[in-house]
Formats: sequence, structure tokens, C-alpha cells
Amino acid sequence: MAQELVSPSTLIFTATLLAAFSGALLLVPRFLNASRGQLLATVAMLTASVLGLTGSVAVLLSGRTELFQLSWTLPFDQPEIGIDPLSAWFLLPIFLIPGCAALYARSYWHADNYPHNVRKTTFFFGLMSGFMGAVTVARDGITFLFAWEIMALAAYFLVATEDEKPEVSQAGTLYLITTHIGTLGLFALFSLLTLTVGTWLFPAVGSLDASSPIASALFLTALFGFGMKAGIMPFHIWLPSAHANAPSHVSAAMSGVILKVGIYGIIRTLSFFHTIPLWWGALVLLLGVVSGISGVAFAIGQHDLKRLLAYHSIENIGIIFMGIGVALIGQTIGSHPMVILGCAGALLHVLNHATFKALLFLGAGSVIHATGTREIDLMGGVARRLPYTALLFGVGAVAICGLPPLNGFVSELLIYLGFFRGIQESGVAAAATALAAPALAVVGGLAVACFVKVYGIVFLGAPRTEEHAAHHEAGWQMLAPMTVLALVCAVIGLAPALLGGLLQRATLTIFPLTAPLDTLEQLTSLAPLTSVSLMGVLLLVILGLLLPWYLRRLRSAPQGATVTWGCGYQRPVARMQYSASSFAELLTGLFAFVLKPQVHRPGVARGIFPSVTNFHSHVPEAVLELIYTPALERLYARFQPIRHMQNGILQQYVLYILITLVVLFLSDYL
Amino acid sequence: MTHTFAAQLNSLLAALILLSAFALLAQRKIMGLVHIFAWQGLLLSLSTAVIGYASGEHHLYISSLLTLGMKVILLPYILYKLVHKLKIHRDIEAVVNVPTTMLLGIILVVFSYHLTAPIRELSNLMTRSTLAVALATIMLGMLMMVTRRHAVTQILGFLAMENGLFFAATSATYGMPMVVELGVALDLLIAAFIFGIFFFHINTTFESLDVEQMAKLKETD
Repeated sequence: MAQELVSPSTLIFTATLLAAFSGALLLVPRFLNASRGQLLATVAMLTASVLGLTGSVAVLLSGRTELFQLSWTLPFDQPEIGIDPLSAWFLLPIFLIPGCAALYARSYWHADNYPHNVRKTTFFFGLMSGFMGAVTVARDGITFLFAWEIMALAAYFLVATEDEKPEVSQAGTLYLITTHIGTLGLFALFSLLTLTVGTWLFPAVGSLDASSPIASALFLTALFGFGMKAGIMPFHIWLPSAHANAPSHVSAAMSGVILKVGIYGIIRTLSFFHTIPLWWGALVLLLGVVSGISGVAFAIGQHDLKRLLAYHSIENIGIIFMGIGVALIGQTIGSHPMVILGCAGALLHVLNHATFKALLFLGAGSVIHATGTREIDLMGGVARRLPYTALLFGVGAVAICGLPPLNGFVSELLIYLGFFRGIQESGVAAAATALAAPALAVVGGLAVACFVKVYGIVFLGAPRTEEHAAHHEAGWQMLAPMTVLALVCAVIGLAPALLGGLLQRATLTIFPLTAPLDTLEQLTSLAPLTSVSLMGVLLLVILGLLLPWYLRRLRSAPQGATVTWGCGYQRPVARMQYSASSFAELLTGLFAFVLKPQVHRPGVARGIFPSVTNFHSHVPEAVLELIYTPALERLYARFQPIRHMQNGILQQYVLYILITLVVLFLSDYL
Repeated sequence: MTHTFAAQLNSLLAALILLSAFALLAQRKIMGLVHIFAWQGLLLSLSTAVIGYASGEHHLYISSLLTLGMKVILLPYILYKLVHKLKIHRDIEAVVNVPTTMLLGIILVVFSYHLTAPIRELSNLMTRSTLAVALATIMLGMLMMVTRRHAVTQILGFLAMENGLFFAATSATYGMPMVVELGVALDLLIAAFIFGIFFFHINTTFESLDVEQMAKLKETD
């Protein structure tokens, strides 16, 4: 083998640092004008992306694991950073998405339009991206927590970019509170881990016995701490408002990658254990099913384009959890195919969701940029004015629905195959997977319904209001990153076999082999990846053949300008079109027991000259508004007597100190 | 000057310090409080010098001079200026009336003696008997902060506590290391500047130096 010029790990570490400090020069006021600084930061981010992706792919191809010791003087163990195929796999979206989003921001959040916050946004965006990479290369608890906190706090400043708006600042505060509660879980996790293994360094893969009570505590704290960041139901409360209120390129990076860092944390923690009990897998699977179904159900009821996409993130995190659950159950009952299929499906969905969700958020950003609103019900007819954006958003929508020939289909297929393997087993494993498979099908179906709604209301039809009619197509700096992401979606969807070996290597770093690799079935033989490619190509060929016929029919059809869904009215107006709420009404009604939609329906006006009336419906964040907030308010009321102690009178505070002092002195005698 | 004589002299000074601590509790006029505080500082400085002479720990002379400069001259001067600038000569209100405060103070003194009894058994320093007084001074200073409402009296209570701490250090171990004492002196000086600034701000914000006004700062539900 030829001598390599630069080792892949060097590339990755350089890229991480470059990304982290890409916006640092912008912090020096008057040193650099904001526009040029943004350009510089974008170039740095793109360079970091290219370097990092090259390094990650090289690591995945070679499958090697490397460890490095850092020298620093903090009073903990010698910190370590390292690269292995699992880290490298997660580094793919970490380098891909922020790179694309940074280029997008160059046009979407240009320095000339946002002079007062572009400096901080650009800086924190780079910082967040770089330290997401740092989280995945950390190999000891302290380094991990440092990187984690910097990432989480940088994300806070990004969410709160426009903090002069009250709803943005509220969303930021909610995010800050939840992220710190999550970090509390991580402190517990790493403290327990250190107590168990006696060092802050991560234990080796499969070195801890999972049947002990402390292992269960580790598992649950990890699920809580990382689940908070991943946005799994019921810890997702921060996610919809944060994603909706951040600038779109930030939403793309947060939804695409930060959630995945949470998933990475869970997978990394799981990799420490062997002899995993069945209930771990069952719990993860259950969480996945709950998140998947409720995420998509909430999404259907939304009117805000970005909130809707945010709920879809919860759904997709659920799908990833289902894959992990299958792999864990497979590990418990010793079914190698389940482990490989479930884990590979989950990992592939991590990459897939990152690409198509980032694509959708960037597309949504372009639409919002053009129409000036996030309300789906005010848009309409965007496809005519923004044809490229409409096409690219369509690609993302097909991918997220898990339809062939795009990438979402492949990862969901792997998870389905894992389920089917589980059904062939016996006992609880079979029952759990047999129940989860239809749940995944329901999720897929509802996702299609939801995106038909989004695409139909936003892009098709006629503009509902002149004020919010789309005016201009996005610039190349916005279209290019979206095109790249759409191409990634298509390539993975059409040629999944390219990733088969990489996925298998990443999977094997988490779940070590029980027998030599040659004797076990490979991913490529377990999943019909080649047939997927063939089928995808066939589908495209059929579509290609049908296209001329369709175009000819379109030309021969009678032409005339009217409103879609005119319903035979004499003079239909654009506002008569299907609205997002009317489209979703059936499904929101079905899920009303979870969604608790609030409908304001004054009744149809009667008489010859009916008076003005209005209809209003809203799907609240039910978990937050109906569970957490009342619970916290009750807690607050319960502790009201204690709050009287804190009455703001200085003397009383000194008195508390005096009493404490005396009691402490006295306690010596007792 | 023999050791016994020095010990007796020190005990006398300790008694006077305790007396001044009670006087701080009883005094209603702000200027009176400042004067008593200055006297307490002087007694402390003398006591430190005596201990320094008797024990042969000559660095205590520096402490003594530092105390003299800081607590007898500089701090009372700053407070005196403040009182004049802010025009607060009138009587000041206490939360608890003076006789009750004195009774509480006596209980705290008895408590301090009770607490330090085991230490007196163990120690063989000539100053061991005054440790109880030092502890009592700290507690009385705190009591003063609890029972008074005026911001200046809060600070005087705090400074009296600091006197008690200093006295405890000299009584228990013949003083702290020089570096620590210099640091504490510097801290006090800075504290004096900070409370000076704060007094002005509190006075302009609330048009009063009554700390109970500051309850308004509390977040309301």
C-alpha cells in the first residue's frame, strides 16, 4: 500500500478545528467587515467539510481505529481522542450538512441584510459544527462533556439569533433549560461510569456487564441525557419551537446533525456493554414507536412550515430508535442478522435523515425567504415562481417519506428486514418486532400524507394572498447546497451497495462479533441492496418513458387560468383552496386523543346577509402544555410556603446564616 | 512585662472589645456607632501588639499597625465622610428593641464560651481564654446585621464580624500568616470602596438607606 501523505485522523482533527474557529475573526470588531468575514468563514467551513469528509471516508474504508493522548493539566485522567468507524460515520453528516448550510447562509443570512447579528451567528455556527465533531472524537468523559457543552451552548446562541423577538427568546430559553437538564443526566452518566470502571476514559467495546443494576442506571441516564438532545418523545419539548425560530440554515444543522450527536451518544454508551438484557432493546424499540407515530401525528396538525419539519425530525429519530432497538434485541437473543440489519438501518437513517431533513429545511428557508411567512396557509403556488426550489424540496419530500428510489427507502427497508428477522425468532423478541413493523408502516403512510399536504398547499395551487406570493427564485448560493444534498439522497437511494461495507464496519465497532466474520452473513447478502438499485433505475426509466406522454397530454389539454379546487363556483377566489387544516382535518381528528387540537368554530352564519365569521384551529405542543407545564405549576404551588423564606429582606437572610452557624456548632454536641 | 501580666492585659483588652461589641448593639446614633467601631479597632490593635510583644511573633506588630491604619483611621474616616455626604445623622430604627437584642447577645456570649471550652482545654497559648470573646464578637456582629435596618449599620456589623475574625486568629494561633493578613486588609479596603459606591446607588434608587426597601428588588410572582 502506498504511503499516505496525511493520515485521515489528522485531516479530521484539522477540519474540526478549522470549522470550530471559522468565524473567530468576525469577533474582532472593525478588523474585517462583516460581509468579507462571512465569506472567509464560509470558505473555511467548506474547506473543513472537504477535508473532514475525505478523512472520514478514508477511515471508514480502512476500518481502522486510532487513539491519541492529549496533554493538558486539568486534574483528571490523561484525556484521549480517537477515530473509529463509528465516529467516522457520524462525522459524515457533521461535515456535510454544516458545510452546505454555511454556503446557504451566505445568501440566506447575508451580512448586508442582518448586520447586527451576522457576526455572532456565523461565529457560533462554526463553533457548533466544530464541537459536534469534537464530541464524536472524544474518548473520555471530561473531553466529551467539554465538547458537548460548547456545542449545546453555541446552539443556544444560534437559536436565539433574533432574540429581540419574544417568541425567539422564549424558544431559546426553553432550549437552554432542557439542554442543561439533559447535561445533568450526562454528568450522572459519566460519574457513574467513572465509579464503575475507575477512570474517566471510555471503557473498551463490550467490556461491561449489562446485567448489573448499575449498568441499568447507566443505560437509563444515557437514554435520558442523550434522548433529551436527540429529541425523543417525551423529551422533545424544546425541539419544535427551537427549530421553528432559528434561522433556516441553523435549523438544518440542528435538525440534521445535533440530534444525531444525541443518537451517537446513546450508541457509544451501548457499545460499552455485553450481555444486554432484553428489556433494553424493548424499551428503545417502544420509545422509537412512540416517537415515530406521535411525531408524525403532531406534524400533520401543524400550520408552521418549520414546526412541521421539526416534528418530522422527532418521527425520524423514532425510526432510528426502532433500528437500534432491533439491533439490541438481536444482540440479546444472539441473532446476528438482526444486529446487522437493525444497526446498519439506524446508522444509514442517521445519514439519510441528516441529508433530506437539511434539504427540506433549506428548501423551507428559500420558500420563507421568498414569501416572507412561515404560515403554510398563507402560501400557495410557490412552484411557479420557484421551480428549482420546488423540485429540490420535492426530492427531499419523497426521500423523507421513505419512497423509492431515494435514500429514505433504503434505510427503512433495512429496519423492516430486521423486524422480519425478529418475527422469525420466538418469544418476546418476535412479539416486539411483530408489533413494531406495522408501526413503522403507519409512520411511513402518515409521512406521505403530511408531505402531500405540505407540497400541495405550499407549492401547488395559486398564491392565497398577494402579500405572501413568492417573488423570486433563490440565488445559486442557496440552490447549490440543496442540489448537493439532493444528489446525495439520490446516490444513496440508487446505489446503496456503495455504503454496504462502510455500514457493516461501523456496525461491527459497536457490536463486536461473536464468531469470525467469514462464518456470518454479510450485510450485502442480508439485504437486497443490488435489487434496490435495479428497481430504482427501473422506476426512473419508467418515469422517463412516461414523461413525454404526460407532457403531450398536458399540451393538448384545454388551457385556462383558474384557481385550483375551484369546485365549480362562478367566481372562485384563491382563498377558497384547500387549506393545511382542512387537508389534515381527518387525520388530526383521528389522533385527537394525543394532539388535543384547539378548534375555534363559531358556527356557520345564517340569513340573507350573513355577518363576518371566522374559523381557527391550532395543534398545541400537547406534551409541553398538557403535561410538563401543569406538573411544574403544581410543583411551584406546592413549594409556595418555602418560597416565603426568600422574601428579599436582607436581615432575614443574615439570620438564616446565623441560625445555620449555631446549628452547625450545636450539631457537634449531639 | 511578664507573660502573666501580658495575658492579664490581653484579657482586659478582650473584655473591652466585648464591651464595645455590646455598645455597638446598644447605640442608636450612626456617628456613635462609627466612633465605637473606631474604639474597637484601637483595642484590637493594642491587643495584637501586646500579643506580638509577649509571644515574640514580631510580624504581629505589622498587623497591629495595619489594624490601626485601616480600622481606626481609614474606615471610620470613610464612613464619617459618607454619613456627612448622605446626611444621615438621625436615630436609626432597629427591628428588635435594644433590651431584647442585649439579652440575645448575652445568650450568644454564653454559647461562645460553651463552644470554645474544649479548645481552651487543649491549647497552651496564653491567649486561649480570649478565643471565646473573639467568637462572641463575630456572633454579635452578625446579630447586629440581623437586628438593624440601616445599610450603614449592616456594614458596621460586617466590619465588627471581621474584627472578631481577626481577633480569633490572633487568639487561636498568634495571627494568620503575613500574606493572608495583607490580603484581608486589601479586601477590606476594596470592600469599603464598594459599599461606598453602593450606598450612593441605594440612596438614589430608594431615596433611603433602609435595607428593607431592597425587598422590592425581589421578583414578584
